[in-house]
Amino acid sequence: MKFAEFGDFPSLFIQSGEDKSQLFGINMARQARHFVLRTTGGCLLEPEYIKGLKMLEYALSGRDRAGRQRPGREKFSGFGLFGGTRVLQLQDPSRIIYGITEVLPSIRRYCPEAVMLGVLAKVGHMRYSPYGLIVSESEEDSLFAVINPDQSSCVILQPSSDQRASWDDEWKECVRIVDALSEMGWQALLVVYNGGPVTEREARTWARLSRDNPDFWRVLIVKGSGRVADQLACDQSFIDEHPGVYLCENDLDQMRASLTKLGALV
Amino acid sequence: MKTNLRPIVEANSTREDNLLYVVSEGQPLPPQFTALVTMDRVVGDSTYTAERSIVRIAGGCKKFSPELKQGFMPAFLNAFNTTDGIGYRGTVFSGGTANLDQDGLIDDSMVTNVPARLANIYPCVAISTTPKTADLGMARDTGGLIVDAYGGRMDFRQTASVIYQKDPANALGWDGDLDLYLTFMEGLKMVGFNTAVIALNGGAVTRNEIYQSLLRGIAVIAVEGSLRETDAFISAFRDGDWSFTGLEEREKLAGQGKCTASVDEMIAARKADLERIDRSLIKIVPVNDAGALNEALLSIGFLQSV
Repeated sequence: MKFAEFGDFPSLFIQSGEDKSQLFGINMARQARHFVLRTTGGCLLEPEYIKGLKMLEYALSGRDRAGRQRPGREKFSGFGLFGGTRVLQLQDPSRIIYGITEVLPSIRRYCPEAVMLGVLAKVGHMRYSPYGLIVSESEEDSLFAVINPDQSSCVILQPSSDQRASWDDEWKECVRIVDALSEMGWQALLVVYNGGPVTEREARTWARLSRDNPDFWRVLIVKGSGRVADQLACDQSFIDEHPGVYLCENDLDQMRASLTKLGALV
Repeated sequence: MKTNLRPIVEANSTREDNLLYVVSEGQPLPPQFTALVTMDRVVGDSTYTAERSIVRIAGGCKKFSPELKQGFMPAFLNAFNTTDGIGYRGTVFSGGTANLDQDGLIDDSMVTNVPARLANIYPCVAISTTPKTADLGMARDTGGLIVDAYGGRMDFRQTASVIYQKDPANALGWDGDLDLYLTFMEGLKMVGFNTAVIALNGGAVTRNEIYQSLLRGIAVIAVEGSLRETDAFISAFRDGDWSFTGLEEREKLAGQGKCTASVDEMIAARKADLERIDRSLIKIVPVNDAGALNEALLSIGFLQSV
Protein backbone atom coordinates (compact mmCIF):
# COMPACT_ATOMS: atom_id res chain seq x y z
CA MET A 1 0.00 0.00 0.00
CA LYS A 2 1.32 3.46 -0.84
CA PHE A 3 1.28 6.10 1.82
CA ALA A 4 -1.01 8.30 -0.26
CA GLU A 5 -3.64 5.54 -0.08
CA PHE A 6 -3.18 5.20 3.67
CA GLY A 7 -4.83 8.52 4.41
CA ASP A 8 -4.87 12.26 3.82
CA PHE A 9 -2.93 13.30 6.91
CA PRO A 10 -1.72 16.86 7.35
CA SER A 11 1.98 17.56 7.18
CA LEU A 12 3.42 19.01 10.37
CA PHE A 13 6.38 21.35 10.70
CA ILE A 14 7.96 22.82 13.80
CA GLN A 15 9.48 26.30 13.89
CA SER A 16 11.78 27.02 16.77
CA GLY A 17 12.78 30.57 17.58
CA GLU A 18 13.58 32.53 14.44
CA ASP A 19 13.67 29.40 12.28
CA LYS A 20 11.10 29.49 9.47
CA SER A 21 9.91 26.35 7.75
CA GLN A 22 10.53 26.59 4.02
CA LEU A 23 8.32 23.57 3.39
CA PHE A 24 5.38 25.00 5.34
CA GLY A 25 5.73 28.26 3.41
CA ILE A 26 5.62 26.39 0.12
CA ASN A 27 2.06 25.35 0.96
CA MET A 28 1.16 28.75 -0.51
CA ALA A 29 2.16 27.31 -3.90
CA ARG A 30 -0.65 24.72 -3.69
CA GLN A 31 -3.20 24.93 -6.44
CA ALA A 32 -5.75 27.31 -4.97
CA ARG A 33 -6.99 30.82 -5.65
CA HIS A 34 -4.68 33.55 -4.39
CA PHE A 35 -6.99 34.59 -1.56
CA VAL A 36 -6.06 34.20 2.11
CA LEU A 37 -8.85 33.96 4.64
CA ARG A 38 -7.76 34.16 8.25
CA THR A 39 -10.37 33.26 10.89
CA THR A 40 -9.94 34.41 14.47
CA GLY A 41 -12.09 34.57 17.57
CA GLY A 42 -13.45 32.55 20.43
CA CYS A 43 -12.72 28.91 21.08
CA LEU A 44 -15.04 28.59 24.08
CA LEU A 45 -18.33 30.20 23.11
CA GLU A 46 -21.42 30.91 25.10
CA PRO A 47 -24.30 28.79 23.76
CA GLU A 48 -26.04 31.76 22.10
CA TYR A 49 -23.02 32.33 19.83
CA ILE A 50 -22.47 28.74 18.74
CA LYS A 51 -25.38 28.83 16.31
CA GLY A 52 -23.99 31.95 14.67
CA LEU A 53 -20.62 30.33 14.22
CA LYS A 54 -22.34 27.44 12.51
CA MET A 55 -23.95 29.95 10.17
CA LEU A 56 -20.50 31.35 9.37
CA GLU A 57 -19.45 27.81 8.51
CA TYR A 58 -22.52 27.46 6.26
CA ALA A 59 -21.91 30.81 4.58
CA LEU A 60 -18.31 29.86 3.77
CA SER A 61 -19.33 26.50 2.33
CA GLY A 62 -22.31 27.59 0.25
CA ARG A 63 -24.86 25.85 2.46
CA ASP A 64 -28.38 26.83 3.52
CA ARG A 65 -29.69 27.07 7.08
CA ALA A 66 -30.30 23.33 7.16
CA GLY A 67 -26.68 22.69 6.23
CA ARG A 68 -27.40 21.60 2.68
CA GLN A 69 -25.00 22.69 0.00
CA ARG A 70 -26.72 24.20 -3.01
CA PRO A 71 -25.13 23.58 -6.42
CA GLY A 72 -23.78 26.73 -8.00
CA ARG A 73 -23.84 28.72 -4.78
CA GLU A 74 -20.71 30.67 -4.00
CA LYS A 75 -18.32 29.13 -1.53
CA PHE A 76 -14.84 29.74 -0.24
CA SER A 77 -11.85 28.92 -2.41
CA GLY A 78 -8.31 29.91 -1.54
CA PHE A 79 -6.07 29.49 1.47
CA GLY A 80 -7.54 29.36 4.96
CA LEU A 81 -5.27 30.24 7.87
CA PHE A 82 -6.48 29.28 11.33
CA GLY A 83 -5.30 28.28 14.79
CA GLY A 84 -4.89 24.65 13.82
CA THR A 85 -6.27 23.14 17.03
CA ARG A 86 -9.20 21.04 18.17
CA VAL A 87 -10.48 21.55 21.69
CA LEU A 88 -11.57 18.46 23.57
CA GLN A 89 -13.15 17.94 26.98
CA LEU A 90 -11.04 16.24 29.63
CA GLN A 91 -13.93 14.21 31.04
CA ASP A 92 -15.08 13.08 27.61
CA PRO A 93 -12.41 13.52 24.91
CA SER A 94 -14.78 12.20 22.27
CA ARG A 95 -16.63 15.49 22.59
CA ILE A 96 -15.31 18.27 20.36
CA ILE A 97 -15.82 21.77 21.74
CA TYR A 98 -17.09 23.77 18.78
CA GLY A 99 -15.20 27.01 18.37
CA ILE A 100 -13.51 29.18 15.74
CA THR A 101 -10.83 26.58 15.02
CA GLU A 102 -13.45 24.10 13.85
CA VAL A 103 -14.90 26.32 11.11
CA LEU A 104 -12.27 25.93 8.39
CA PRO A 105 -11.71 22.19 8.96
CA SER A 106 -15.48 21.63 8.87
CA ILE A 107 -15.85 23.18 5.43
CA ARG A 108 -12.98 21.28 3.83
CA ARG A 109 -15.14 18.63 2.26
CA TYR A 110 -17.55 21.22 0.90
CA CYS A 111 -14.78 23.42 -0.49
CA PRO A 112 -12.44 21.19 -2.51
CA GLU A 113 -10.68 24.24 -3.95
CA ALA A 114 -9.60 25.46 -0.54
CA VAL A 115 -6.41 24.67 1.34
CA MET A 116 -6.56 24.88 5.13
CA LEU A 117 -3.33 25.69 6.93
CA GLY A 118 -2.95 25.68 10.68
CA VAL A 119 -0.61 27.89 12.67
CA LEU A 120 -0.35 26.70 16.26
CA ALA A 121 1.44 28.29 19.17
CA LYS A 122 2.92 25.71 21.53
CA VAL A 123 1.60 27.31 24.69
CA GLY A 124 2.07 24.17 26.75
CA HIS A 125 4.55 21.34 26.75
CA MET A 126 3.43 18.92 24.07
CA ARG A 127 2.18 15.49 24.97
CA TYR A 128 1.18 12.62 22.79
CA SER A 129 -2.20 11.14 23.63
CA PRO A 130 -4.60 8.64 22.07
CA TYR A 131 -6.61 11.69 20.98
CA GLY A 132 -3.75 13.40 19.18
CA LEU A 133 -0.78 15.62 19.91
CA ILE A 134 -1.70 17.88 22.82
CA VAL A 135 -0.45 21.45 22.51
CA SER A 136 -2.22 23.06 25.43
CA GLU A 137 -4.11 22.04 28.55
CA SER A 138 -6.41 23.84 30.97
CA GLU A 139 -7.25 22.01 34.16
CA GLU A 140 -9.31 24.99 35.22
CA ASP A 141 -11.61 24.59 32.21
CA SER A 142 -11.14 20.80 32.01
CA LEU A 143 -10.16 21.15 28.39
CA PHE A 144 -7.18 20.36 26.23
CA ALA A 145 -6.27 21.21 22.66
CA VAL A 146 -4.81 18.82 20.13
CA ILE A 147 -3.69 19.40 16.57
CA ASN A 148 -6.79 19.42 14.42
CA PRO A 149 -6.52 16.37 12.16
CA ASP A 150 -8.63 17.98 9.43
CA GLN A 151 -6.30 20.38 7.64
CA SER A 152 -3.80 20.26 4.80
CA SER A 153 -0.70 21.24 6.71
CA CYS A 154 0.26 22.96 9.93
CA VAL A 155 3.18 24.56 11.68
CA ILE A 156 3.86 24.59 15.40
CA LEU A 157 5.58 27.65 16.79
CA GLN A 158 7.89 27.35 19.77
CA PRO A 159 10.60 29.68 21.10
CA SER A 160 12.71 26.58 21.73
CA SER A 161 12.29 22.91 22.60
CA ASP A 162 11.68 23.70 26.25
CA GLN A 163 10.04 27.13 26.16
CA ARG A 164 6.36 27.80 25.67
CA ALA A 165 5.02 30.19 23.06
CA SER A 166 2.34 32.76 23.78
CA TRP A 167 -1.12 32.84 22.24
CA ASP A 168 -0.10 36.02 20.42
CA ASP A 169 2.63 34.16 18.52
CA GLU A 170 -0.01 32.51 16.37
CA TRP A 171 -1.55 35.66 14.94
CA LYS A 172 1.80 37.40 14.63
CA GLU A 173 3.07 34.56 12.44
CA CYS A 174 -0.13 34.75 10.37
CA VAL A 175 0.42 38.49 9.86
CA ARG A 176 3.98 37.75 8.73
CA ILE A 177 2.75 35.11 6.26
CA VAL A 178 0.00 37.34 4.88
CA ASP A 179 2.26 40.40 4.70
CA ALA A 180 4.63 38.58 2.36
CA LEU A 181 1.75 38.22 -0.10
CA SER A 182 0.65 41.85 0.03
CA GLU A 183 2.78 42.87 -2.95
CA MET A 184 2.11 39.75 -4.99
CA GLY A 185 -1.40 40.49 -6.20
CA TRP A 186 -3.13 38.32 -3.58
CA GLN A 187 -6.26 39.24 -1.61
CA ALA A 188 -6.66 38.80 2.14
CA LEU A 189 -9.45 38.95 4.71
CA LEU A 190 -9.57 38.54 8.47
CA VAL A 191 -12.91 37.36 9.87
CA VAL A 192 -13.47 38.13 13.55
CA TYR A 193 -16.09 36.16 15.46
CA ASN A 194 -16.36 36.68 19.24
CA GLY A 195 -12.93 36.49 20.82
CA GLY A 196 -10.96 37.91 23.74
CA PRO A 197 -7.87 40.09 24.25
CA VAL A 198 -5.68 38.11 21.85
CA THR A 199 -8.30 38.43 19.11
CA GLU A 200 -8.51 42.14 19.80
CA ARG A 201 -4.76 42.61 19.34
CA GLU A 202 -4.90 40.75 16.06
CA ALA A 203 -7.92 42.67 14.78
CA ARG A 204 -6.37 46.00 15.70
CA THR A 205 -3.11 45.04 13.98
CA TRP A 206 -4.88 44.20 10.74
CA ALA A 207 -6.93 47.38 11.04
CA ARG A 208 -3.79 49.46 11.55
CA LEU A 209 -2.22 47.86 8.49
CA SER A 210 -5.37 48.65 6.53
CA ARG A 211 -4.67 52.37 6.92
CA ASP A 212 -1.78 52.08 4.48
CA ASN A 213 -3.25 49.37 2.28
CA PRO A 214 -7.04 49.15 2.73
CA ASP A 215 -7.47 47.13 -0.46
CA PHE A 216 -5.37 44.31 0.97
CA TRP A 217 -5.65 44.34 4.77
CA ARG A 218 -9.40 43.91 5.27
CA VAL A 219 -11.25 42.90 8.40
CA LEU A 220 -14.82 41.60 8.59
CA ILE A 221 -16.24 41.78 12.11
CA VAL A 222 -19.34 39.74 12.81
CA LYS A 223 -21.48 42.04 14.91
CA GLY A 224 -23.58 40.17 17.42
CA SER A 225 -21.04 37.37 17.86
CA GLY A 226 -20.13 38.62 21.32
CA ARG A 227 -17.14 39.85 23.32
CA VAL A 228 -14.39 41.62 21.36
CA ALA A 229 -16.20 41.44 18.03
CA ASP A 230 -19.12 43.39 19.51
CA GLN A 231 -16.86 45.83 21.35
CA LEU A 232 -15.04 46.72 18.13
CA ALA A 233 -18.23 46.77 16.06
CA CYS A 234 -19.74 49.29 18.45
CA ASP A 235 -16.63 51.51 18.51
CA GLN A 236 -17.54 54.01 15.80
CA SER A 237 -14.23 55.85 16.00
CA PHE A 238 -12.42 52.57 15.41
CA ILE A 239 -14.58 51.88 12.35
CA ASP A 240 -14.16 55.43 11.02
CA GLU A 241 -10.38 55.43 11.44
CA HIS A 242 -9.80 52.14 9.62
CA PRO A 243 -11.03 52.02 6.02
CA GLY A 244 -10.38 48.31 5.69
CA VAL A 245 -12.76 47.30 8.49
CA TYR A 246 -16.23 46.03 7.55
CA LEU A 247 -19.17 44.85 9.63
CA CYS A 248 -21.90 42.31 9.08
CA GLU A 249 -24.66 41.03 11.30
CA ASN A 250 -24.53 37.58 12.86
CA ASP A 251 -26.88 36.14 10.24
CA LEU A 252 -26.29 33.62 7.48
CA ASP A 253 -27.51 35.80 4.62
CA GLN A 254 -25.64 38.87 5.83
CA MET A 255 -22.44 36.95 6.37
CA ARG A 256 -22.75 35.36 2.95
CA ALA A 257 -23.36 38.72 1.28
CA SER A 258 -20.40 40.36 3.01
CA LEU A 259 -18.04 37.48 2.34
CA THR A 260 -19.09 37.50 -1.31
CA LYS A 261 -18.65 41.25 -1.60
CA LEU A 262 -15.18 41.00 -0.06
CA GLY A 263 -14.18 38.30 -2.51
CA ALA A 264 -13.95 35.34 -0.14
CA LEU A 265 -16.76 33.42 -1.83
CA VAL A 266 -16.76 32.72 -5.55
CA MET B 1 23.63 50.05 -29.76
CA LYS B 2 23.19 46.59 -28.29
CA THR B 3 21.64 46.31 -24.86
CA ASN B 4 21.14 43.45 -22.47
CA LEU B 5 17.98 41.40 -22.93
CA ARG B 6 15.10 41.65 -20.48
CA PRO B 7 12.48 39.16 -19.30
CA ILE B 8 9.05 39.60 -20.86
CA VAL B 9 7.42 38.95 -17.46
CA GLU B 10 8.30 41.20 -14.53
CA ALA B 11 7.84 40.29 -10.87
CA ASN B 12 5.24 42.99 -10.43
CA SER B 13 3.94 46.02 -12.25
CA THR B 14 5.99 48.47 -10.19
CA ARG B 15 9.46 46.99 -10.71
CA GLU B 16 11.51 46.56 -13.86
CA ASP B 17 14.71 45.38 -12.25
CA ASN B 18 16.13 41.98 -11.36
CA LEU B 19 14.97 41.53 -7.77
CA LEU B 20 17.75 40.46 -5.43
CA TYR B 21 17.49 38.84 -2.00
CA VAL B 22 20.32 37.93 0.34
CA VAL B 23 19.53 34.91 2.49
CA SER B 24 21.73 33.66 5.31
CA GLU B 25 22.14 30.04 6.34
CA GLY B 26 19.15 28.91 8.35
CA GLN B 27 16.80 31.44 6.81
CA PRO B 28 14.16 30.33 4.33
CA LEU B 29 13.75 31.72 0.86
CA PRO B 30 11.59 34.84 1.15
CA PRO B 31 7.91 34.38 0.22
CA GLN B 32 8.22 37.19 -2.35
CA PHE B 33 10.71 34.96 -4.18
CA THR B 34 8.90 31.64 -3.80
CA ALA B 35 5.53 33.13 -4.78
CA LEU B 36 6.91 33.85 -8.25
CA VAL B 37 6.36 30.21 -9.20
CA THR B 38 2.57 30.66 -9.09
CA MET B 39 2.34 34.28 -10.15
CA ASP B 40 0.28 34.94 -13.30
CA ARG B 41 2.56 35.73 -16.22
CA VAL B 42 1.43 39.08 -17.63
CA VAL B 43 2.83 39.94 -21.06
CA GLY B 44 1.34 43.12 -22.48
CA ASP B 45 -2.41 42.54 -22.68
CA SER B 46 -2.11 38.79 -22.26
CA THR B 47 -2.15 36.91 -18.97
CA TYR B 48 -1.00 33.32 -18.72
CA THR B 49 -1.60 31.06 -15.76
CA ALA B 50 1.73 29.82 -14.44
CA GLU B 51 2.52 26.24 -15.33
CA ARG B 52 3.01 24.29 -12.11
CA SER B 53 6.50 23.16 -12.92
CA ILE B 54 10.04 24.16 -12.12
CA VAL B 55 13.31 23.11 -13.75
CA ARG B 56 16.87 23.72 -12.61
CA ILE B 57 19.65 23.94 -15.16
CA ALA B 58 22.73 22.47 -13.51
CA GLY B 59 26.30 22.07 -14.67
CA GLY B 60 28.54 23.95 -17.03
CA CYS B 61 30.22 23.86 -20.40
CA LYS B 62 33.90 23.38 -19.55
CA LYS B 63 35.92 21.68 -22.29
CA PHE B 64 33.09 22.22 -24.78
CA SER B 65 34.24 22.42 -28.38
CA PRO B 66 33.33 25.69 -30.18
CA GLU B 67 30.53 23.82 -32.01
CA LEU B 68 29.04 22.55 -28.75
CA LYS B 69 29.32 25.97 -27.18
CA GLN B 70 27.56 27.63 -30.09
CA GLY B 71 24.77 25.08 -30.13
CA PHE B 72 23.67 24.70 -26.52
CA MET B 73 21.72 27.96 -26.15
CA PRO B 74 19.66 27.62 -29.37
CA ALA B 75 18.90 24.02 -28.39
CA PHE B 76 17.52 25.09 -25.01
CA LEU B 77 15.51 27.92 -26.51
CA ASN B 78 13.88 25.62 -29.05
CA ALA B 79 13.32 22.81 -26.55
CA PHE B 80 11.17 24.98 -24.29
CA ASN B 81 8.68 25.98 -26.94
CA THR B 82 5.13 24.66 -26.66
CA THR B 83 2.74 23.35 -29.28
CA ASP B 84 0.68 26.55 -29.09
CA GLY B 85 3.79 28.59 -29.86
CA ILE B 86 3.56 30.63 -26.68
CA GLY B 87 6.35 28.80 -24.91
CA TYR B 88 7.15 27.66 -21.41
CA ARG B 89 5.08 29.27 -18.66
CA GLY B 90 6.69 27.66 -15.64
CA THR B 91 9.81 28.55 -13.69
CA VAL B 92 13.38 27.94 -14.73
CA PHE B 93 16.39 28.50 -12.56
CA SER B 94 20.09 28.08 -12.29
CA GLY B 95 23.16 29.22 -10.39
CA GLY B 96 22.58 32.69 -11.80
CA THR B 97 26.10 33.74 -12.73
CA ALA B 98 27.29 35.42 -15.91
CA ASN B 99 30.31 36.69 -17.79
CA LEU B 100 30.36 40.12 -19.35
CA ASP B 101 32.09 41.17 -22.54
CA GLN B 102 34.10 44.36 -22.85
CA ASP B 103 30.96 46.37 -23.63
CA GLY B 104 29.23 45.30 -20.42
CA LEU B 105 26.90 42.90 -22.20
CA ILE B 106 26.32 39.40 -20.87
CA ASP B 107 27.96 37.05 -23.33
CA ASP B 108 25.61 34.06 -22.81
CA SER B 109 28.53 31.65 -22.69
CA MET B 110 27.29 29.82 -19.60
CA VAL B 111 24.46 27.39 -18.95
CA THR B 112 23.52 29.64 -16.04
CA ASN B 113 22.36 32.15 -18.65
CA VAL B 114 19.70 29.80 -20.03
CA PRO B 115 16.91 30.97 -17.66
CA ALA B 116 17.34 34.62 -18.59
CA ARG B 117 17.36 33.79 -22.30
CA LEU B 118 14.22 31.69 -21.94
CA ALA B 119 12.51 34.43 -19.95
CA ASN B 120 13.31 36.87 -22.72
CA ILE B 121 11.20 34.99 -25.27
CA TYR B 122 8.69 32.93 -23.27
CA PRO B 123 6.30 33.85 -20.43
CA CYS B 124 8.30 31.96 -17.85
CA VAL B 125 10.00 33.22 -14.72
CA ALA B 126 13.78 33.09 -14.44
CA ILE B 127 15.21 32.82 -10.95
CA SER B 128 18.50 31.79 -9.41
CA THR B 129 20.19 30.84 -6.19
CA THR B 130 23.90 31.53 -5.95
CA PRO B 131 26.14 30.63 -3.02
CA LYS B 132 28.34 33.46 -1.79
CA THR B 133 31.73 31.87 -2.26
CA ALA B 134 33.77 35.02 -1.62
CA ASP B 135 33.15 38.54 -0.33
CA LEU B 136 30.60 40.29 -2.51
CA GLY B 137 31.78 43.29 -4.46
CA MET B 138 30.61 45.95 -6.87
CA ALA B 139 32.40 46.64 -10.14
CA ARG B 140 33.87 50.12 -9.97
CA ASP B 141 32.97 50.96 -13.55
CA THR B 142 29.38 49.69 -13.77
CA GLY B 143 28.35 48.97 -10.20
CA GLY B 144 27.50 45.41 -11.23
CA LEU B 145 27.45 42.82 -8.47
CA ILE B 146 30.51 40.55 -8.27
CA VAL B 147 29.82 37.29 -6.53
CA ASP B 148 33.02 35.28 -6.59
CA ALA B 149 36.75 35.63 -6.33
CA TYR B 150 37.17 35.55 -10.13
CA GLY B 151 35.03 38.59 -10.86
CA GLY B 152 32.00 36.54 -11.80
CA ARG B 153 28.77 38.51 -12.04
CA MET B 154 25.12 37.82 -11.43
CA ASP B 155 22.98 37.44 -14.53
CA PHE B 156 20.87 40.54 -14.01
CA ARG B 157 18.38 39.74 -16.74
CA GLN B 158 16.35 37.40 -14.53
CA THR B 159 13.12 37.99 -12.63
CA ALA B 160 14.65 37.42 -9.21
CA SER B 161 17.86 36.14 -7.67
CA VAL B 162 18.96 34.93 -4.27
CA ILE B 163 22.47 35.12 -2.94
CA TYR B 164 22.88 32.55 -0.21
CA GLN B 165 25.54 33.12 2.42
CA LYS B 166 26.73 31.51 5.59
CA ASP B 167 26.53 34.91 7.25
CA PRO B 168 27.65 38.45 6.31
CA ALA B 169 31.27 37.70 7.13
CA ASN B 170 31.74 34.16 5.82
CA ALA B 171 31.44 32.39 2.50
CA LEU B 172 30.00 29.03 1.51
CA GLY B 173 31.34 26.38 -0.82
CA TRP B 174 30.25 26.09 -4.43
CA ASP B 175 27.58 23.62 -3.36
CA GLY B 176 26.44 25.85 -0.53
CA ASP B 177 22.99 26.48 -1.99
CA LEU B 178 22.31 22.88 -2.94
CA ASP B 179 20.25 22.00 0.09
CA LEU B 180 18.40 25.31 -0.08
CA TYR B 181 17.24 24.97 -3.64
CA LEU B 182 16.60 21.24 -3.51
CA THR B 183 14.42 21.70 -0.42
CA PHE B 184 12.54 24.40 -2.35
CA MET B 185 12.02 22.05 -5.28
CA GLU B 186 11.10 19.17 -3.03
CA GLY B 187 8.52 21.35 -1.33
CA LEU B 188 7.02 22.30 -4.66
CA LYS B 189 6.90 18.64 -5.62
CA MET B 190 4.99 17.96 -2.40
CA VAL B 191 2.32 20.44 -3.48
CA GLY B 192 1.92 19.00 -6.94
CA PHE B 193 4.56 20.69 -9.09
CA ASN B 194 6.45 18.85 -11.79
CA THR B 195 10.13 19.17 -10.95
CA ALA B 196 13.29 18.41 -12.88
CA VAL B 197 16.98 19.12 -13.05
CA ILE B 198 18.66 19.28 -16.45
CA ALA B 199 22.30 18.34 -15.94
CA LEU B 200 25.07 18.87 -18.42
CA ASN B 201 28.83 18.74 -18.06
CA GLY B 202 29.83 19.84 -14.56
CA GLY B 203 32.14 18.61 -11.83
CA ALA B 204 31.66 17.31 -8.31
CA VAL B 205 28.96 19.85 -7.48
CA THR B 206 26.90 18.82 -10.50
CA ARG B 207 27.35 15.18 -9.55
CA ASN B 208 25.97 16.00 -6.09
CA GLU B 209 23.10 17.87 -7.69
CA ILE B 210 22.22 14.85 -9.81
CA TYR B 211 22.22 12.33 -6.99
CA GLN B 212 20.65 14.57 -4.37
CA SER B 213 17.85 15.45 -6.78
CA LEU B 214 17.13 11.83 -7.52
CA LEU B 215 17.17 10.90 -3.84
CA ARG B 216 14.46 13.52 -3.32
CA GLY B 217 12.36 12.14 -6.16
CA ILE B 218 13.18 14.99 -8.55
CA ALA B 219 13.57 13.92 -12.18
CA VAL B 220 16.94 14.38 -13.85
CA ILE B 221 17.41 14.90 -17.56
CA ALA B 222 21.06 14.05 -18.19
CA VAL B 223 22.57 15.47 -21.37
CA GLU B 224 24.79 12.90 -23.02
CA GLY B 225 27.86 14.16 -24.82
CA SER B 226 28.12 17.17 -22.53
CA LEU B 227 31.29 15.64 -21.00
CA ARG B 228 32.59 15.43 -17.42
CA GLU B 229 30.38 14.30 -14.52
CA THR B 230 27.09 14.22 -16.41
CA ASP B 231 28.54 11.83 -18.97
CA ALA B 232 30.15 9.94 -16.10
CA PHE B 233 26.75 9.61 -14.42
CA ILE B 234 25.22 8.29 -17.65
CA SER B 235 27.99 5.71 -17.97
CA ALA B 236 27.48 4.60 -14.39
CA PHE B 237 23.67 4.56 -14.52
CA ARG B 238 23.15 3.05 -17.95
CA ASP B 239 26.28 0.99 -18.49
CA GLY B 240 27.44 0.20 -14.96
CA ASP B 241 30.77 1.80 -15.82
CA TRP B 242 32.03 3.84 -12.86
CA SER B 243 35.47 4.54 -14.29
CA PHE B 244 34.57 8.10 -15.28
CA THR B 245 32.91 9.09 -12.02
CA GLY B 246 35.21 11.38 -10.06
CA LEU B 247 37.87 11.07 -12.75
CA GLU B 248 38.97 14.70 -12.55
CA GLU B 249 39.28 14.50 -8.76
CA ARG B 250 41.24 11.24 -9.03
CA GLU B 251 43.59 12.68 -11.61
CA LYS B 252 44.15 15.81 -9.53
CA LEU B 253 44.93 13.80 -6.39
CA ALA B 254 47.19 11.42 -8.27
CA GLY B 255 48.96 14.32 -9.92
CA GLN B 256 49.70 15.71 -6.46
CA GLY B 257 50.94 12.34 -5.30
CA LYS B 258 48.03 11.96 -2.91
CA CYS B 259 45.94 8.93 -2.06
CA THR B 260 42.77 8.52 -4.11
CA ALA B 261 40.87 6.43 -1.57
CA SER B 262 38.42 9.28 -1.01
CA VAL B 263 37.30 9.00 -4.63
CA ASP B 264 36.74 5.27 -4.19
CA GLU B 265 34.66 5.96 -1.07
CA MET B 266 32.65 8.55 -2.96
CA ILE B 267 31.97 6.07 -5.77
CA ALA B 268 30.87 3.43 -3.26
CA ALA B 269 28.43 5.94 -1.75
CA ARG B 270 27.07 6.85 -5.19
CA LYS B 271 26.60 3.18 -6.03
CA ALA B 272 24.56 2.82 -2.86
CA ASP B 273 22.53 5.89 -3.84
CA LEU B 274 21.82 4.44 -7.26
CA GLU B 275 20.43 1.30 -5.62
CA ARG B 276 17.82 3.44 -3.83
CA ILE B 277 16.93 5.74 -6.70
CA ASP B 278 13.81 5.34 -8.83
CA ARG B 279 15.41 4.74 -12.21
CA SER B 280 12.33 6.01 -14.05
CA LEU B 281 13.22 9.53 -12.88
CA ILE B 282 16.22 9.60 -15.21
CA LYS B 283 15.99 10.66 -18.84
CA ILE B 284 18.99 10.82 -21.17
CA VAL B 285 19.06 13.16 -24.14
CA PRO B 286 21.84 13.88 -26.66
CA VAL B 287 23.64 17.18 -26.33
CA ASN B 288 22.22 20.13 -28.26
CA ASP B 289 19.24 18.08 -29.43
CA ALA B 290 16.29 20.39 -28.95
CA GLY B 291 13.77 17.80 -30.10
CA ALA B 292 14.96 15.17 -27.67
CA LEU B 293 15.05 17.63 -24.78
CA ASN B 294 11.56 18.83 -25.69
CA GLU B 295 10.28 15.24 -25.71
CA ALA B 296 11.95 14.50 -22.39
CA LEU B 297 10.33 17.55 -20.81
CA LEU B 298 6.93 16.60 -22.20
CA SER B 299 7.30 13.05 -20.89
CA ILE B 300 7.61 14.32 -17.32
CA GLY B 301 4.68 16.70 -17.54
CA PHE B 302 6.34 19.95 -18.57
CA LEU B 303 5.38 22.34 -21.37
CA GLN B 304 1.65 22.02 -20.94
CA SER B 305 -0.18 24.36 -23.29
CA VAL B 306 -3.27 25.77 -21.58
